Amino acid sequence: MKHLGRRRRRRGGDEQCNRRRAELAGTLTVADLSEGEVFEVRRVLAEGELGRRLVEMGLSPGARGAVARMAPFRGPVQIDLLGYSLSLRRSEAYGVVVERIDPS
Amino acid sequence: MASSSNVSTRRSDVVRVAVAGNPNSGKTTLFNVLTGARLKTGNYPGVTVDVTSGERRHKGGELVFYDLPGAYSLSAYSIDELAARRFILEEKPDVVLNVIDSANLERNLYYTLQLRELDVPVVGALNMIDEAEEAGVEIDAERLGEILRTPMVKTVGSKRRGVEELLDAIVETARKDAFRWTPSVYGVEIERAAERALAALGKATTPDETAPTTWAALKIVERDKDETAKWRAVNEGELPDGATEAVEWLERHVGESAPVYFAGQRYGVIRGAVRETVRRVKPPERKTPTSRIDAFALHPVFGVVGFLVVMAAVFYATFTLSEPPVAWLERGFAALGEFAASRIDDPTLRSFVVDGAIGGVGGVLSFAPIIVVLFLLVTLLEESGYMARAAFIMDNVFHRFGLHGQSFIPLFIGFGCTVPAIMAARTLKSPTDRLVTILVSPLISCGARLPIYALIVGAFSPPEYSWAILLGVYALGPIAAMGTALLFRATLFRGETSPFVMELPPYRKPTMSGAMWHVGRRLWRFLKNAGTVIFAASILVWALTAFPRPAADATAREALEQSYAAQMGEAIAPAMAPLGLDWKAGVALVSGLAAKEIVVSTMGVLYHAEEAAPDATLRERLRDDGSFDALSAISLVVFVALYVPCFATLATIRRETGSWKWVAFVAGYTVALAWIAAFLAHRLGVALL
Ligand SMILES: Nc1nc2c(ncn2[C@@H]2O[C@H](COP(=O)(O)OP(=O)(O)OP(=O)(O)O)[C@@H](O)[C@H]2O)c(=O)[nH]1
Ligand SMILES: [Mg+2]
Repeated sequence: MKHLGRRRRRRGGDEQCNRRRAELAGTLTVADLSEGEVFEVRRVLAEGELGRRLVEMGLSPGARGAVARMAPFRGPVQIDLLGYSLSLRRSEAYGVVVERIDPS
Repeated sequence: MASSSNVSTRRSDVVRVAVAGNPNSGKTTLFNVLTGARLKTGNYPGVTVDVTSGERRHKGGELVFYDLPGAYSLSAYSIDELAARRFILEEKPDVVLNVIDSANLERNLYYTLQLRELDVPVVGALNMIDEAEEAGVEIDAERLGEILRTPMVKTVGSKRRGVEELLDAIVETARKDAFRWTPSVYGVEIERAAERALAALGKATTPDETAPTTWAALKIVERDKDETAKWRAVNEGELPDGATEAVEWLERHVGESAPVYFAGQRYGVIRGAVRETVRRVKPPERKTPTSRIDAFALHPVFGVVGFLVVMAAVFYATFTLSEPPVAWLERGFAALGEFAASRIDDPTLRSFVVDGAIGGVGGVLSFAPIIVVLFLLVTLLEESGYMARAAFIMDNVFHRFGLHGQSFIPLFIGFGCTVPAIMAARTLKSPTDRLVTILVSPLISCGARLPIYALIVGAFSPPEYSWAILLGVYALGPIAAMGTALLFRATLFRGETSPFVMELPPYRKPTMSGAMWHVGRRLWRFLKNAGTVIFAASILVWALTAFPRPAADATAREALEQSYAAQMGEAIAPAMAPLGLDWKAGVALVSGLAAKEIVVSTMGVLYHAEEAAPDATLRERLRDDGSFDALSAISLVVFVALYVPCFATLATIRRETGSWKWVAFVAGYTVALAWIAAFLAHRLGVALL
């Protein structure tokens, strides 16, 4: 129990995104994509200021982007959108629900 | 010239222009061009963290510019963004010069729209138009200006293009009233919600004397934190009746949270404007130079290796490139001391000049080349765009140690100087992340500590290993910072760290002139310090070693041992003894509390006062001194690497945290940590050597 508690505090971000993932079983998020895939934003689930910041940075519903890079060991994600490059932690990327788009 | 100020006096005949826009859009570059200032620029978001003003005359009128921190949105996220928002809302500039990165138009126009909602006169600078054109993007500035109802001027800040037109547009705009922006462009839902909110606000107590504006209503509808808090504060902790209902009505109606919906509508307007005004003359390249570099720089394996290599290269180059000039300067000052000694007859005056002034100040000045090289390399890295990549690579590690990927930037700046490092922590959103970063930043070895390392390592290590030892000393800082951050996180500050959301700007070729200017200014500051503070400290330490005057037949050593300095040194000697340091090193460390360069000048004075070849350099004197050996060198270097850098750092911590408590905390824990680490290193050294 003690071990679990410590783990949760340290890896709080991941914990949160796991929960989110469970809630969303079936929905596709940026974090579920792989390098090179193109997507269109459907919804932003992240709440509060983070959600606001994500849409303000261009991840607003209808926006298109591509996953440029997924850092290993559950590191950050780099996405290209609106002609610039944005990086997010994996846990943040789970907050953006997308639809895969055929690149052509 | 530029001067730091948040307050501004209102004069009707001067036009006050706030330079605002997205981070890294080139605001400071343009500000420098406009005012002749030389503020720090850099190719990563968050270089500027406070407001600076500068003046300029144009066609007989006087303009005052204010360089603001960058912000992605008026709904501020971190405190540097908040400073920009507050300036625009509270200082009410006559014109906002909105600097727009044309190569990144849509996201930049988001901020432009928010400024337009505010009904403040705006002039848009379509900056970095060179990069947009390079990428094959053509912007119809005039048409874009018509749609947004604000003049748009194409500029290239780094090449001074478009400056005259920009100034004309600013002067012109200052004379006119801003065109009213109506919420109807965001759709009927927002318009209706804003109307309802406005009606509600009209019936409530207002935060200021004036009637509520449409803007305030829009902000309420957008669930803006600051504006909501303002209204709550004067209405018994609640939003006025009807206002909350207006927001909830909107959210029910559109099926989305108000902030998300609002942002989406803004982007809708932007997409429309861009469709009408932007033309691609060539298809976007699949592989840009930036993406090619990133394929290596952010590679899972090469990226990390590359990061370590870059860091190591900086310190290796700093040490090796600067070593020859340092050696010349040391020889030069030693010769100067010998010359002065041969010309001055009065023993007290001779000691004053040779041991105090030349020994102290000369000891420090010899190391100026090191500072120059380090700052040049750090500045080049900051201008290149690599900093954001390093933050990307480090986030995964830092995150686990209770820091934040973005903490990397302040900590890296700390290799130069801890004061701007602490200020740069303003870009961190969460107060805990920011505080932890501030608290550990003194552990990073600043440029002022480099002369000490160069002195000690240069004196005691074989030349071919010096750079490796130096690298080890430098690694001590980040390792200690991560360990300490983890400890703080586990004890003092629990709770989540903030999200990592960061822009990776394109790589840019650093401009040598800008970098040299910055380095020149650092050098000047170093020289000025040497001539003032360090000189004064040297004289003080010299006086403590020279008095009370010894008996005429006393040897130099006996004279020193009975001086005031020795008497004071004896008081701290018990704390120094376990580290293998004698009272002289102790006095040097204490003097270093004021500023780290003083450690070197103090050692220069203290180790000068004994017999040695008259033309020996300080390194040679240290090596020959019986009370200082390689083991003392280890503990001294480790101690210096970790204890609190200087008074200026403490003052900055006080200013940035607003509390003396944290100042005392930092001073206390760094000294304790330094002592423990030095003790362990010393014990290890004793066991091994
Ligand atoms: N190609 C090009 N580069 C530019 C231009 N203007 C600025 N730069 C570069 O863009 C980078 C950012 O410039 P800054 O002036 O520091 O940007 P800022 O908006 O003040 O950034 P923050 O203070 O972080 O918000 C620097 O590397 C500049 O050299 C331009 O017109 N064209
Ligand atoms: Mg700036």
